Amino acid sequence: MTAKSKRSALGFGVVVAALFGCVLGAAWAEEPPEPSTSEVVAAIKRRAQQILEARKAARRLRFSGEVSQLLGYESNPSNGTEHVGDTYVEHSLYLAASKKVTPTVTWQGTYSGSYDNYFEYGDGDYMSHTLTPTKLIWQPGRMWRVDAGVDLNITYYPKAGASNYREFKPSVGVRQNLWGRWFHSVRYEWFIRDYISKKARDGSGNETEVNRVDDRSRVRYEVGTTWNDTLLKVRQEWYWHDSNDERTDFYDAEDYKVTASLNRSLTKKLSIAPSYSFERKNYSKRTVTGISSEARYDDTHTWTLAGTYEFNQTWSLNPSLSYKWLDSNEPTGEYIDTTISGTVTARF
Amino acid sequence: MGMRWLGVVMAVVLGTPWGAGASVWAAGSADEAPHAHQMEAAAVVTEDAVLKEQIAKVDEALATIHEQMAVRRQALQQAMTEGQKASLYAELDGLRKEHDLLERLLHELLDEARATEWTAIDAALARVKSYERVQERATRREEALRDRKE
Repeated sequence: MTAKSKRSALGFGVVVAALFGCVLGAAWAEEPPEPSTSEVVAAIKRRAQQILEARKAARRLRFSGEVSQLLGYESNPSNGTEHVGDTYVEHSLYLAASKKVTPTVTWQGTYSGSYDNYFEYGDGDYMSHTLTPTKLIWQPGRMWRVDAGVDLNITYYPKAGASNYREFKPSVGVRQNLWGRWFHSVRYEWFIRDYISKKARDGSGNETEVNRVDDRSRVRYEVGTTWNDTLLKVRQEWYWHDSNDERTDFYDAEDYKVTASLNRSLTKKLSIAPSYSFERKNYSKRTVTGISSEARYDDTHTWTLAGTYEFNQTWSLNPSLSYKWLDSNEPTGEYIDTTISGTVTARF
Repeated sequence: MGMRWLGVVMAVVLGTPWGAGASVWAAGSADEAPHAHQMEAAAVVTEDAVLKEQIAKVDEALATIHEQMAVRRQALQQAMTEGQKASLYAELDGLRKEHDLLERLLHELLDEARATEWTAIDAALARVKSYERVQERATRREEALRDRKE
């Protein structure tokens, strides 16, 4: 046997021995021991305990909120015949607390505040605070959603203090889900608005001792459907306004408004929302200038194109462009108003 | 599922004690209907991701307990001494108690999921809530300007 063939045989032998060793090792290697019953039960108990703790946590009080900053330009904020545009800002805050009272009933309390400030058109400045101390939401199953709550609002005009008011607004809404992707809902709201310093006037225009109180009611009926990341809704509203200010009967009206809106997700972060609304206001006691018998009516058309861009779970941007025009049988009341704005929102 | 049918086939074709034992194990498992809770869990649809995860975890835990009980039952067939049998019966008893507790928890979770079942329309409306708050403020601004004039 040559040296070369001896080396080859030796190398071959080493390889075979190594392979044999691996096979023996694998045969002798113990399979990981099966967990004992007590270990299995202990692991399952720990998981069940975690789930029970998570369910308790879910029933605790939850807090959430949003802070928003808007910058906009409006071509005709006074809604007059002379178009004087102005830039405005809006600072707003939304806070919500909620707690599951039962598996199907949730209590919710919210605060919503905003301050609008025009750079030039000071008459348009106002501050509004709305507290909803109680809203109960009942979800008994897949079909019905019922909610009822009370809003307390105070609105303050820095440059028109006489118009400041407090408002009490109870509301109730019922939604019925149909076939998984459709719904229709009805909501009734009753507003009782108490002016803080403005007195009610009699028919001659003289101030009485009683503060002005406005009584308003609104019914909203909405139908909607969703498909492929798209939500389509059509809403109809009926609105009645009455006041103890007999001079203000001039402003009493019946109002009907219909709004069609679409919201479609284009990507995971971007969605667009075009909408159109038509509003008909029939004044009960106001007549057209120069015509003693014809009651005035106003038709307001509004086109809006808005969007949402979600930067992440916290930050989002909402640009919006709206074009509004009012047609009327009272030519002096007609106007056009265009608004462009951008809102940045932080959620927490 | 595959092992169960394999046991039945072996019992019939081979007629061996192992095959017979496997078929007894298979029959015992079928009586327990171990997948009934999984079918019930799968039938409930909820958009609540946390609730969904909890149902899945409890369901998985129940499946694990069923497997462990099946192993103990099989071992019981082969147990030689009374001491071994007593130990296995005690383990089976413990597993059965945990099974009952978890099944009660699963039914509670399923009841909660059924009570708050979301449809696609609920998810769609929830998605646009923040945007609708922005739009409501715009509507409120118009009303506030109009109300100030009146």
